[in-house]
Amino acid sequence: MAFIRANNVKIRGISAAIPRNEESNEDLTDMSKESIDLLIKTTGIQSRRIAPSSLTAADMCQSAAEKLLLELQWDPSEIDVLIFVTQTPDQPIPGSSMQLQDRLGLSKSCMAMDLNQGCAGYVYGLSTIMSLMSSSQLKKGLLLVGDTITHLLDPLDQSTVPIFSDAGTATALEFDPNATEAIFNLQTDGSGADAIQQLRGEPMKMNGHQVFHFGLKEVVPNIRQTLEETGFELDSIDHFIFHQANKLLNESIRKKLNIPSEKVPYTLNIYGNTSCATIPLTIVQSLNNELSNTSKTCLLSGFGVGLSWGSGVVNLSDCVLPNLIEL
Amino acid sequence: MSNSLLHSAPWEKFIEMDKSFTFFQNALKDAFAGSFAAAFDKVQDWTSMQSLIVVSAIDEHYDVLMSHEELKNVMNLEELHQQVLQKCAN
Repeated sequence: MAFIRANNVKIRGISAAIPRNEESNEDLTDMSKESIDLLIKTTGIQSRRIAPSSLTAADMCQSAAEKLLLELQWDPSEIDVLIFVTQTPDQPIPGSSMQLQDRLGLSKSCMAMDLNQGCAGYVYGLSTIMSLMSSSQLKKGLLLVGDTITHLLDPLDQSTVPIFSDAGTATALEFDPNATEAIFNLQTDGSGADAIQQLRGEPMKMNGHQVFHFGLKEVVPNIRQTLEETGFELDSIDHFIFHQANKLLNESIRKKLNIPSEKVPYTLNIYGNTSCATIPLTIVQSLNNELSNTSKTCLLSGFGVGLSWGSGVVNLSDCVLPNLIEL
Repeated sequence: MSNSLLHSAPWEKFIEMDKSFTFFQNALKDAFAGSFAAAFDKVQDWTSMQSLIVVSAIDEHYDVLMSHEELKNVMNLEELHQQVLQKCAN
């Protein structure tokens, strides 16, 4: 079991940026009205944000990071570590994290690296940066998580176009001896790699049934194991922030775990599935009135491409959540 | 579904379960909320999205996962119901 415990690291703030360009699933062509209605009802996705080809995941993450640093009044030179989680870097070589170090004005003593992860990317990225900061007592860190998955799609593919959307996010972390321990439970099954895949020179493809089957089979046991490991009862978790895959799958997971619906926020109705960015985007959009002066225990669960999945219990208190940025 | 049922052993769940075809049929009809009357009994005519709804409903009510391939090989609802019960018993 890949249980990861990270002590003494606090999440200070989370911000998110999305493209201004909005597309509605009601306007999908080549589908009957009946099919569109069933699609919206089943996936829960009404509209999506689509980045123009000139807007990259790194651009959106940079904007989110700049706003967050400003609100936190952090000097960029104080950042010791930057991790950029994406499947859509600006180019294959070099990794975009290095360019983001420069674009954000971070010092040369800051370590920077890319992490290629999809729907579980926020949980993987958060566990990685928190572990690094915890073990080496790094003072301040930035986790940038974003994708422009729509740039990889075949515009005629009805199994992906109505689902995917674009976003970039930034999470600020600080070493703090008083911080509550965070615990993560990470898992992988590469035998299902073809469930969501982009081969060289081809658009990204998704086998919806395979992904759905995987989600129903693996996510609930993973969350139960995490709760057992942390010692938390289901009732003591304030919010369950799930990767925004599709409503049918997420609701199945929620019902199997017997979680009250008010504890499970959704943003996929307005922002679709933004790949690795769904969890921080949902926190920014749905919890911004709740986290300013209170302490909340949140369970985060990401699952998808890889196949890769994981969950983590983190404390969010006095967490700065700037308003969503539109680019 | 109650918490105790979620954490009980598989055979206990099977004993407590309503195994009738009427229950099965109604569970699927509820999942579609009336938007699927025309081709409801013709399993092989279901669209991909309709199949996902059925897989989800079966998982919710019977705690059994049906693959896309298993669904494709089923001719009608009665046959599907039998397969689900068989999987429950295993």
